[in-house]
Amino acid sequence: MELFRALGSLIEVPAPEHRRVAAALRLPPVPAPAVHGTVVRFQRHPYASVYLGPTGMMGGDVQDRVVGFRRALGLPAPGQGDFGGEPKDGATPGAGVDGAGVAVEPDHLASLLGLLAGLDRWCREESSEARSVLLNQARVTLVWEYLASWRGPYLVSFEDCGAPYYEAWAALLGRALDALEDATEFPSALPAALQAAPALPDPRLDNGDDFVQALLAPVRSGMILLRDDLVRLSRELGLACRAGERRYVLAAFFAQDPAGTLAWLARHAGEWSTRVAGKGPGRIAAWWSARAAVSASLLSQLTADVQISAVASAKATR
Amino acid sequence: MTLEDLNARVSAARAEVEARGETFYPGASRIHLAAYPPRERWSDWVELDSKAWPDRVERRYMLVPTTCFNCESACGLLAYVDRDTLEVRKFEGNPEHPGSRGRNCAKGPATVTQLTDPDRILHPLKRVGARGDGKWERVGWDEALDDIASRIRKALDEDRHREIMYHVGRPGEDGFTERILAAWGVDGHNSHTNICSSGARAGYHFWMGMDRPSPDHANARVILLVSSHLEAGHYFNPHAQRVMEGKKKGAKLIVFDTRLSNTATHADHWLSTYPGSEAAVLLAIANHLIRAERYNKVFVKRWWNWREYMEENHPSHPPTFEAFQRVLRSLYADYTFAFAAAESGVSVPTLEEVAETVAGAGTRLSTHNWRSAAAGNLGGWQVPRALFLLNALMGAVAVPGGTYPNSWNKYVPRPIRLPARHPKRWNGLTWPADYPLSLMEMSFLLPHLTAERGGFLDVYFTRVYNPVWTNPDGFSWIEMLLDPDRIGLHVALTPTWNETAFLADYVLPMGHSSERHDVTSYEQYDGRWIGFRQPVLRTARERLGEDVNSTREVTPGEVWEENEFWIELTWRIDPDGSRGIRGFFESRKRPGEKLTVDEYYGWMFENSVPGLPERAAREGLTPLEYMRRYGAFEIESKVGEVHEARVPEAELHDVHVDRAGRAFTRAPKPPLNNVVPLPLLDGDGKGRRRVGVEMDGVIRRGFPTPSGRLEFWSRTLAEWGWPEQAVPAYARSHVHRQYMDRDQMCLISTFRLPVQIHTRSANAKWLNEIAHTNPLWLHPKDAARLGVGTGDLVRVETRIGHFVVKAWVTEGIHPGVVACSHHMGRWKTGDGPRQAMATVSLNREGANWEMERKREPGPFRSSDPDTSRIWWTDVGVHQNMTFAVQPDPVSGAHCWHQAVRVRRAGPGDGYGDIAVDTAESRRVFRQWLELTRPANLHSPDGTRRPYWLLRPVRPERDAYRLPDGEAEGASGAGGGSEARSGAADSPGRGGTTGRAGAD
Repeated sequence: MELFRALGSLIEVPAPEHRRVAAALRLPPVPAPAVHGTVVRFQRHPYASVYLGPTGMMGGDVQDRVVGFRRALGLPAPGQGDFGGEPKDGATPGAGVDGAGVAVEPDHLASLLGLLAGLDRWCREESSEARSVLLNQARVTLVWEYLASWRGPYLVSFEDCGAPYYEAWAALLGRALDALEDATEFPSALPAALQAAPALPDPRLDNGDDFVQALLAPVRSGMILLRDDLVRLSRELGLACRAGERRYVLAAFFAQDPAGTLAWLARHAGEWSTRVAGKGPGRIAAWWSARAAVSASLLSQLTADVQISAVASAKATR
Repeated sequence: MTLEDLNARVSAARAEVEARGETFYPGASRIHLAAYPPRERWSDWVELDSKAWPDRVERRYMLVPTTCFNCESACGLLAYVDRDTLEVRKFEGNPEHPGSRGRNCAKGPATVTQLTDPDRILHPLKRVGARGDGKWERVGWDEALDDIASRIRKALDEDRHREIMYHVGRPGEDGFTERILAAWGVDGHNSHTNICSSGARAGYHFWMGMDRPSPDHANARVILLVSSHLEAGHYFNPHAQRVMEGKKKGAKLIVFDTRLSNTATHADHWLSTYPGSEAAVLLAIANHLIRAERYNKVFVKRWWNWREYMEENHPSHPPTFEAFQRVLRSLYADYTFAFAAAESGVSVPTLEEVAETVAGAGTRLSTHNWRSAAAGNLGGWQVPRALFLLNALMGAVAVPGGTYPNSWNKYVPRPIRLPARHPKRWNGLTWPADYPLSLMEMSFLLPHLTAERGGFLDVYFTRVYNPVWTNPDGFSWIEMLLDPDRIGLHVALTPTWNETAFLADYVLPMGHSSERHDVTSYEQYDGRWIGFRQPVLRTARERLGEDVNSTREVTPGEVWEENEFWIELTWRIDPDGSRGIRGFFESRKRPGEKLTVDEYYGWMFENSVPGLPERAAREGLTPLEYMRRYGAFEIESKVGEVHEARVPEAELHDVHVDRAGRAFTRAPKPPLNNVVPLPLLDGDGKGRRRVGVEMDGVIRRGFPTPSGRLEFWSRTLAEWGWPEQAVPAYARSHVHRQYMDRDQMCLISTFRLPVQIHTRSANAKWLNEIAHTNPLWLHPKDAARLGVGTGDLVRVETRIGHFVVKAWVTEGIHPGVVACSHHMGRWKTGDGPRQAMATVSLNREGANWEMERKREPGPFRSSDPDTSRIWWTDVGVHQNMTFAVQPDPVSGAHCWHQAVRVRRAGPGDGYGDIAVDTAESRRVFRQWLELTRPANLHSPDGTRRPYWLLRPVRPERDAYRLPDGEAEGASGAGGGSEARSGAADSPGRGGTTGRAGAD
């Protein structure tokens, strides 16, 4: 559906051309690029690897798997064989996949939605029944492994983001994906990235180096910690919010008030467990909800341990 | 609203917007290199001024496309013209260009530094005092034009046509100037090509009639480059992006390069072959394919001229394909991996692995050679012939992922008038009978030929060319240019000062890429496109409603564009039209008036470019307006297998098919709008023209070769004196270890710095900051033997002199080989460009020349504040001065590789010192001349050159005949069939230039 390509293009930095796309979709007026910077570029990075990768960062195995998926379809990595997403002289399938508007990184949401729209058209235009079946399987794989697997928490993060345009965009994309997912028969196994993702590590069992990083990796913690969330944490707990990357900020909070920070994060994880429940295909939504609940539980235990330890330490001092 | 409704709305909106030619989905803006301003906003594009940061200052631009002129790739550029000041602020890529697709190398954006160069030539200058004294006076264009025109007119009137010569470096256009020369009736075209690509092009030409490869890297399974083509070379940017595309899809990259170039670092298989051994390796791979029967027999049987080969060389064998296969097997049997390993220094297991990789390519084998080994070695033209043998074996010819012939991926639109004149007189200075098969003019021999054969040029144009610096044997060029008995008037058409312009009588300032008109088209993928170079400020002003009558009105100072210059000069040569010259450049719309560039290109785009008028009309534009707005147009993609195409019935009338299967027709040739140069093939002698070849009972287009097929065996080579080279073969190079003394090493001098331009980057500040010197690559083993380290001075001794350069010790070079890059070592004796030219003294005693460095460049105050920040002083060494001419006796290409001795510099040696004995260079010239097999001894038909071979400004047929009494070998030259047969069975191993039996 062209709708997916259009929605994908709108997660790019706003350009005047986006006004026509947004108007066609009955979305609120396109905001200034600065709003995109605040809401998307600096907080809600639209890359599957950020939400599905064990480090919570762009690239890595998740991105490589998308490249491999494209290669299996005979498509080059976007941005190499096509300008602006139009595969001009690529492999045979490229002629059928009209990926206009897709981004140049393979796991960018716009790339994935553009590919989905292209595959949809390609399926419809394919005359060979056998190839049509294969293409449909590819489409199902794309949705299950690389879209449905992370879109729940990602789109939830736009709720109450303060930008009506992006709130409406996320709601519409969620609605469109709901409809697609409802009409699609998915495999019984969970997406590979979810199956492979380790849970939040218990810092009491190792040296804790990985703990802060894992908190910021959604697939491990089950929750998304935006910069806005960290600012809110600092206000609520009265902590200094240091200027720097999120890991650095979070480490500074732990240094200032470990118990308070852990308790706040436990509450946040608990809320996420509720918020993501029911967002996306049932098994995936349940997985995210459960992962956040497990994190909330661990964080609560850690909070209690830190408090007990603090009391013990105070008694010893007296 | 339902999702279906929304989907329908957005689909309809997209269709409506794109039907208007506008952008619905803008590019991915967070990746800057992939984000381009939507083209409908090119008229008024707003960007923040980066220099004003942190203030947010908006600048409004008009984006005007043009074509880069800094190499032959002709990549698209977008000039950002400031709407307030009407100045070009920057250049970026043009996403509408089908070849470069918006991407550029550093040389494209650096164009802006050439425009604003404070040392730029801004006015026509005339020499004052002796030639070469460096004193100039400013003159008007009228004075210069009248003076030059009157000399040319007088020469033409006195039947001295041969005394007019135009010597071109970077053509950057498709035939405009050749048409000027044709209109004058002058066989005076002289290109730089024989110091560049003609070795490779000869190899391709003998195979397929077309002289360049057009590899489809993006769709290849295996990419084989005999070059550093990912970083330098013709079309390297359009090709490099497609090589990477192919790699992303899983293609294997094989690179032959003695050096660890940037290209080699990207290879799956890097073969550091000893210089000159490349053909041996390629033939060993071919032998593997043949012996393992892993070649495409169907293709070979259909499209090779194997039947002709068998008849001529093995008449006792049955004329069957099976018999040919047996012969083929034995022909290359000696090219074992062990033999190739001994020649190249590459191990047998590596060669086996590479051969297997090639064998697995099927028809998706894209290969490329342009200069590199073909330009370095005696017999280098056999490198592409051996390379293309792999394509021909695999059937990887003109199919997806294979290599296409260039002419099928190129489009040269027919101009408003195509002078049908062919010069009556043959120019022996450029096409001497010694080199009848030379692909292009023997340009680099000019000083020797004028000296030894009494040549005189009354008017000699150097155009964007700097032979003193670019060619080998530069001091011989200086001697010629200083000699009024050899050069009457030297006119340098150039945008920048250079070593040759210093020796001119007139220096005429020409425009850079955004200051001139040209049409270009190059083979960069399986498609045909044209690019339009235009003076962007002229277009910008016209869009704002101004009338601009000449490009001179919008260029800095009195800089002009060449097309208007040539038209004006032609009118002054023939002011009243009585000589029949002027008429070729008269307006059609206004008879009797001068042709304007608007009319020239307007007519061309309206009448000669299929699909362009319709495409333009969809946007409400004329074809010329469309090209001025977008700068490029793709005529066709996926041209495919032209040789397999059926000839249309309309072209088949009273067809005769000869014994060899060649088809001839009486139907007239349909008018062609694509006038891309192709060989001229003879008819059947009974009024029919060649139209194709018969195959499976069908007349197909075939290849434009004498046989109509791919010529594994070249009758031309066999009959013109080179029977032992008539099939793809390996002949040991002049730098083979066997021919060098123990203390000699091979010097590779041909490789380029990716960011430099031959001559015109002397004042491109960004490029000079990136790369400005050329140390000598030296392997650690050799460095230890010589007792030198990185930065130490070494003296490199050639046959005719020496140069002193700094050493760079690196494992990135084959032991026993040294390398020094092209591009560097610019010099001047007085005033001149200040960014990258050293000041030197030239001392001469008879034939002995010395160059001594006086001063390195450094910071200076100018209109450009950046010139006060120049931090580099080392600008390299001009090594080419110390190279004698070494023309290949077949292709005519200069064989660049040098046998040298490298020593620690002595106490009297200074960095950049050069010494040359031009008397010795003359002796070398004569020695190499002895290798030739001249037309007067070997021509089979009493002509100077095979008529079918490509040739710029082709003279009329009578001019091809050797003068009476010179055609000594006209009957039976080239040996009888026995001789040919015997020689062809030994495909050249050690067989050329009197080295038979060298094994």
